[in-house]
Amino acid sequence: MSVEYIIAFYMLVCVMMTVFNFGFLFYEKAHSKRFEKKMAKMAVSLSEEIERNADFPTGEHRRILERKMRRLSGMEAFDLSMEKLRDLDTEKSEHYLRGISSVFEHLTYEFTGRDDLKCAYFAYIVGRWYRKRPAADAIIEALFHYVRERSFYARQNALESLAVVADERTMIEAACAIDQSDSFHHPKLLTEALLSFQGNRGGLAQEAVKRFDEFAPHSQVAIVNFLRMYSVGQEGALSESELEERRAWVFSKLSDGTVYSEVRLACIRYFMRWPWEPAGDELCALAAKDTPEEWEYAAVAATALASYPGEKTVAALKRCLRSRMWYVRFNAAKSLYDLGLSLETDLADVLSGNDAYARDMLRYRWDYEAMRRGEARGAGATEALEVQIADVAETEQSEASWEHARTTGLSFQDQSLSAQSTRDLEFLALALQRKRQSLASHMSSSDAWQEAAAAWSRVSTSWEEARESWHHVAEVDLEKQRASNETKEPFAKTRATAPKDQGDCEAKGGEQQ
Amino acid sequence: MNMVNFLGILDTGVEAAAVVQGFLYFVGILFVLYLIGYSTFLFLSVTVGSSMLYKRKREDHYKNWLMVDCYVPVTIIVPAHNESVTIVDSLQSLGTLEYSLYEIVVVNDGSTDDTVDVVVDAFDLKPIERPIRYQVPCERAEAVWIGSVGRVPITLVSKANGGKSDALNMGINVSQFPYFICIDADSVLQYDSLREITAPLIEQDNVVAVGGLVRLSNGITLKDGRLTNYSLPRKLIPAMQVLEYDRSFLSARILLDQFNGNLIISGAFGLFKKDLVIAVGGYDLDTVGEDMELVTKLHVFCRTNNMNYRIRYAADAICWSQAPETLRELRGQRRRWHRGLWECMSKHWRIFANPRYGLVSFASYSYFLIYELLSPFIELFGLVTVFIAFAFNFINVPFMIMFFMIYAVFGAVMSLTAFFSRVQTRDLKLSFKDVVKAILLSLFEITVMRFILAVTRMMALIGHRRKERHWEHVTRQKIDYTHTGANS
Repeated sequence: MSVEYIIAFYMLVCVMMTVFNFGFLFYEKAHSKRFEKKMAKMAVSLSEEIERNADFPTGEHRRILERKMRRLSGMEAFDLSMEKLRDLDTEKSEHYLRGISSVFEHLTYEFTGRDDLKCAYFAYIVGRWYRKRPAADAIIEALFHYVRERSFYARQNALESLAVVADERTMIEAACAIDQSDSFHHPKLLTEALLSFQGNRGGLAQEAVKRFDEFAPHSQVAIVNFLRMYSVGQEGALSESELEERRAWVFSKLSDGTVYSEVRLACIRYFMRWPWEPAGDELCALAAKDTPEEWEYAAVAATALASYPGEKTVAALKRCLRSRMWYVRFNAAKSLYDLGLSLETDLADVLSGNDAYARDMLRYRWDYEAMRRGEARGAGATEALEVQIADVAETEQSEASWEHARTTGLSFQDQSLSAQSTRDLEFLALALQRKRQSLASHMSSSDAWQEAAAAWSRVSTSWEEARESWHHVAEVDLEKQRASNETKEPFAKTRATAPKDQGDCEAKGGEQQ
Repeated sequence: MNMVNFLGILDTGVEAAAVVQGFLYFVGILFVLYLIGYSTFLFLSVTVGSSMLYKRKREDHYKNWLMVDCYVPVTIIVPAHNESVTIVDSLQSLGTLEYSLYEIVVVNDGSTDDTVDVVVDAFDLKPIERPIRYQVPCERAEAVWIGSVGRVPITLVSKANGGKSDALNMGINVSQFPYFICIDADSVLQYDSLREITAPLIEQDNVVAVGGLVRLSNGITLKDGRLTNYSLPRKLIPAMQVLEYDRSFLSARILLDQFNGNLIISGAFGLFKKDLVIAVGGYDLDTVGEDMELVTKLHVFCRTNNMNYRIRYAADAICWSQAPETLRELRGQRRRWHRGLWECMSKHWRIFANPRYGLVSFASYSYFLIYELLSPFIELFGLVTVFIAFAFNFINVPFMIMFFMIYAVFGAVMSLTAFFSRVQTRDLKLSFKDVVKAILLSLFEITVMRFILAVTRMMALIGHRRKERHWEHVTRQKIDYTHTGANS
């Protein structure tokens, strides 16, 4: 009997799982339909209110909105509807949003005790649509509550929202709250949040520096990274003396041996981004550290020294080339390249020395950069071509004709012959494909379409031939090929001969008919 | 024959029957416990797996996800042996991922086809003398090329054949970033796969490895890393594997992830912290199950050194990989997997029933031991006892048939639940034909294929010492992947 009970239990499980599978499917479909209706209603309600009372939404409207937004589906409907309405009329939408600020403030009480998912979403909505400045205390307190005590996503969304609605002091206070929380929050996220602060970033930086010592080491790293990455050219720009003070402060952290190592490394990176002459000697000294415990200082300093041209730097980097640590050598070689030194003259002593590792590293770096330079030239040429193609496509939309197709095709052909590498040809081939597609949608004459299609086909074929040549023949042969191509008249010939392969152009041409 | 002799024989016969009956009763109890254990695990894994998927979907829907571009630099290592058919598509898919900073390292492991030429031509790579830091053991590099796939730097290293582990170790030695991902050369990633697999590194500070979800690319179409068409493969063998992968990859690994108990991250798509992998000596060159061996080794290393660590599973980090399309290739793959499982579990036998390893020992290791490694023997032994019982007329045939059918239906329902939960949470559209096909396949897989593969796995260990460390020959199919260069 007991075995039969077990069997019956598993049969029941099967039935329940099957019911769940199909039940969920129908629930999703029904929910989706209900949501679409809700969204449509919300959009109508919002747009009517914006039209009527953009500056002063009525009390009744705010109450109805508040009631609807207590549920997730209501908030979602508001979010999606508002996004569309803002695109239609930004100014009126902004007036309206300022008028409904109290709705969000009242909703904070609703969402304080809710589960983490709802809190995270509410924080996201506040960051997106709450417009009152300075933000009301209720909003700030709610976001602080999420930052201190909620799940990872609620904390992150709240931090991002604070970066939008809070002032400098509040933002740093939130950073402190995250720092003191028992839950881990990645320092990169803190740096990103500080960088996305929409208020006075200079003021934020000053506040961060003022309270720097209150933070744990990993948060201090985040703050130094923020100081490094935000531009002083933006709002809150420092004066010369303030900038000097700032650099001196960072330098004090760098040269203090008791400061956490990751903070000092972040300071080195700061001086890589913002070179400061007094830091040069310290960086040279750090680059000379060659023990297993301190190699990271040497490695990062070797990279930073690329911003400090001079004999001392070159000497320090040459010493780094002889380091036992791989990354120290690797970074030193890169910095020597970035300083614009010559392998044959400035680094001849290393090349002719007895350190094979140093020689290999230098040679690799120079070869690698030479290849990158070649690719960058090709890529730059390709970008220029793409801009040209886009311009041509614009005119083609209004004057799709045989003549334009012919001219464009010839232009493409000329450009392909001057391509620096097969890579350019590949990009051009892609551009051709896109151009064909855009032309296909605008051709009105079937005759012109047929002829243009044939022209494209012929141009493609000659490109393939050029590509083959590029691969397998020497440069002299390629010049001959080029000369040979210039004497051909592919479009004139194509008028008289049947096209080899019209591909999808023909299918689309058929559709045009 | 006199009466005494006759009675003696009769007594012997009765005693023998009693012994057999007693034996079968004992075996019956064992099997009931075995099936209850397996069914419970299956039920829990599918329930937990599906509910986590639905929860994640809801969280995504309501913006409970990382919206900032917060990245960690990653090296994608692609070991390749005779992959000329698929490698270009795979690399193109890797070059268009929506991720800020990563590089690709392709390791040609002594290919005898034109894999190298195909890659060099396709991406216009240039040869270079590159210093390599050999931190984990591998064959020396014979040649290195560099270039880029779009804006992503790519390095191609060619070396003598040494096996997949050797190739992966070379990739580790060549990589310049603190994290690496191993991926098969016949696989393609979705546009957001890198973002998804690195997300756990941002969410928690002690994550040392993350496993991604491997799904089968047979029957799908990808364009610029986005799934444009999803359907079950037309052929029976790969179609059956789709359900199997969803049940085991999805459900079991999500369940094991809840208590840091994953003993395996698929070699087709897994992310690792490089310095820790180097500390444990890289991939083991002496095993064919290098993926499981590495993860188990990481568990052992971290627990032995009292490190606070997590090995996570990212169910939304999707890699599309090819499944064997013929029974022969499938059996070859499963033989290799079972050999790898045996090698790993025998190498790390100290984990078994060891309190130091907590639930990794009592739950994960025990599950893999009983329900993966020994299950072919157990299940076939069960079949043998059924025949013995039938021969002695101790079996209630209608009851057995009903029991077997319920077992089959239960397994099929679990597979289908895992399959449909994945389809629904990713908003994939399935045709009615595919739904019917999935239902029939789930029954076929649990009844017929399971026993075929059980025999295959049982035979895997015979003569395994004679097997060389070699790459299985699998016929590659062209991946239906389109790249328009939209994200270059």
